[in-house]
Amino acid sequence: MKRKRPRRRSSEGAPDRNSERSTNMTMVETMGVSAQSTRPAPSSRSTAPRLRRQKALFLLMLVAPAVLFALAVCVYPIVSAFSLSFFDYDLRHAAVAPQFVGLDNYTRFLTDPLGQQAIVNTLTFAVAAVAIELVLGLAIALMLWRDTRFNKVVTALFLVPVAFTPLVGALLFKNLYSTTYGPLGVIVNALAGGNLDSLVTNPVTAMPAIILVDVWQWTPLIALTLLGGLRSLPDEVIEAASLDGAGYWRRLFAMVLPQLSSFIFIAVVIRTMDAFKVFDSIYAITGGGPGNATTTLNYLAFTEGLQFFNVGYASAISNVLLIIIVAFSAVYVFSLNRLNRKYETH
Amino acid sequence: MAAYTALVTHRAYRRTVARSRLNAAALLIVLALFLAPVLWLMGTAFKTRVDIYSENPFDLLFTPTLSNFTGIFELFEPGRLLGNSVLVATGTTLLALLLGVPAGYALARSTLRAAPAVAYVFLFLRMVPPVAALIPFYLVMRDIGLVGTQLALILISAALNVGFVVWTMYTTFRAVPPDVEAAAGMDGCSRWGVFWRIAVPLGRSGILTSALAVFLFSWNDFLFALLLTTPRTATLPVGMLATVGSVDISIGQMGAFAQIATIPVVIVAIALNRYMVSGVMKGSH
Repeated sequence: MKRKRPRRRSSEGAPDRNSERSTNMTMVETMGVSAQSTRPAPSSRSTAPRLRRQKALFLLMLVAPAVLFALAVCVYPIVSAFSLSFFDYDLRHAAVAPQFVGLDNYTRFLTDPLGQQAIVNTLTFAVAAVAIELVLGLAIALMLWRDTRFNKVVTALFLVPVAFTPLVGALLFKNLYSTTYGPLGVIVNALAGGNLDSLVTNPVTAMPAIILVDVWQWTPLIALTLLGGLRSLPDEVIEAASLDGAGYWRRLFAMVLPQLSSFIFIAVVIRTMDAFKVFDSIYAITGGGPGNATTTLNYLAFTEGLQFFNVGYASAISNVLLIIIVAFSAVYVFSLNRLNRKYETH
Repeated sequence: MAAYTALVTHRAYRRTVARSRLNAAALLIVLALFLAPVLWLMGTAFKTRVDIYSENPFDLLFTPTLSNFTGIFELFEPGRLLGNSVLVATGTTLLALLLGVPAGYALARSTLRAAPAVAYVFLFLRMVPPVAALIPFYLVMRDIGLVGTQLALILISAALNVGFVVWTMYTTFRAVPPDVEAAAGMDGCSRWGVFWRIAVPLGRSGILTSALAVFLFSWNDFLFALLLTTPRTATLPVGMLATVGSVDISIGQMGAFAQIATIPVVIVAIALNRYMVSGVMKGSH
């Protein structure tokens, strides 16, 4: 996660331009010397800006396709969704032109009990899943810290859930939760006294069941990210922390965790943003139910827009989700920027 | 005195060994918990229907059968689904790299003040919830008649992934000192030659990281494929959904299907594990 940059950000402007000009000038001078016999040396005053213009044009040529593509296929739909959210637009009545309704879609969503429940469900899911993943992931990272061959093998095997297709993982857990033939369902059912029909149709266990899928799939990723952080700590911290004996916990909390805080922070922010977008497991396991116990914003937007074709309303829901995620990513990008600067000054 | 010191060191050594053995044991237990669901699924793929729905789900002694594997070839078209998945994931990866690698390079080498800001915008694009872009994208694709084609799927997957590729390549190329390229430029290499023959090989770890992550996301994508494909163009996750809810199909066939769909990718991910973590973390959905 640590992004090293060779230069300090603050020195990007003027000094860089100067150093580049000087390299260009040496290039021109070399060329001039070698070509002296055939033609007069080009004046460095007119060539340097021309070379710089050529370089700028070349770089522009490289960056333009990506920018245009992103604008057409990514930015345009987002902007379009933003404007759609102010219209009453139902695809089933294609003959009826979309009608401008102002903020009606938003007020309808925010006052609808289902909308409110979707917000609560999304937050519950994200907070619970990420909290569990962080605690477990940190524990696993600390266990994997020592750089042995055994740990290397174990680390690689922890990637199995991460690479597993989420939908297949969801279908797998759906079967594990069965109280007739699924090992997990049978165990939980036995513990609960044997009167559960299913873990996924019970309003109490449905949300934990969805959270567990997320925990299974993404805890290893947090663990491996934090392991990367642990490996990048200064040697004296590693030595002090790897000493055995009394005071291990104190050293952990006093030395290791503060040093690791930026990695923990980034892992939490990224995972939270992803958790807000949970879809596959809900679609495959509960379908938002029982009742609406596991209906999240993403799932609600999908059903409204792409099953009921209530496009304007669905756009409003996805925009609320977008706003939440933008707020998070702003925090993330801002702190990443600060983090980069911190590492560059070292 | 020396004997005493030796004793103390010996004790400390023994304590260290004991602690690391305890650590290894705990680690194995945790790993087993995380792998158990996958192993169970792989096991069910070789079980008969009777064995799967038996009273005891923990029975490890069963007679393996290949009937589930033959069954899915009769009921579905795993070959077609696999082909579609490979086509979409490869197409997405190539398109995202083709657009993203040069852009990341250009942003890293630009001296404009706006360049880092543009790179951050690309990073931000990666975080957009797919559903926000999906509805209008679906409408556009419907209007130009591309719904149900693999191309539509490749276009939107590449668009949501290109931001991640640009950002990864931006950070990768920022870490490559420009001096090497300046030297090549003086040796008469064209700008394009400097990019293609010097910068791209130097940035190959970043390219591999992005390629692996984009391929994995595209391979694992379900939401776009669900909406944009027809039975003819469906990818593996969408095809596997058909195994649910039908009386004719057991979890055993789902397990057999899952092995075709996930095991190859999981093996690649493990083999290239050092490129995986940073990629998936930065680019995850």
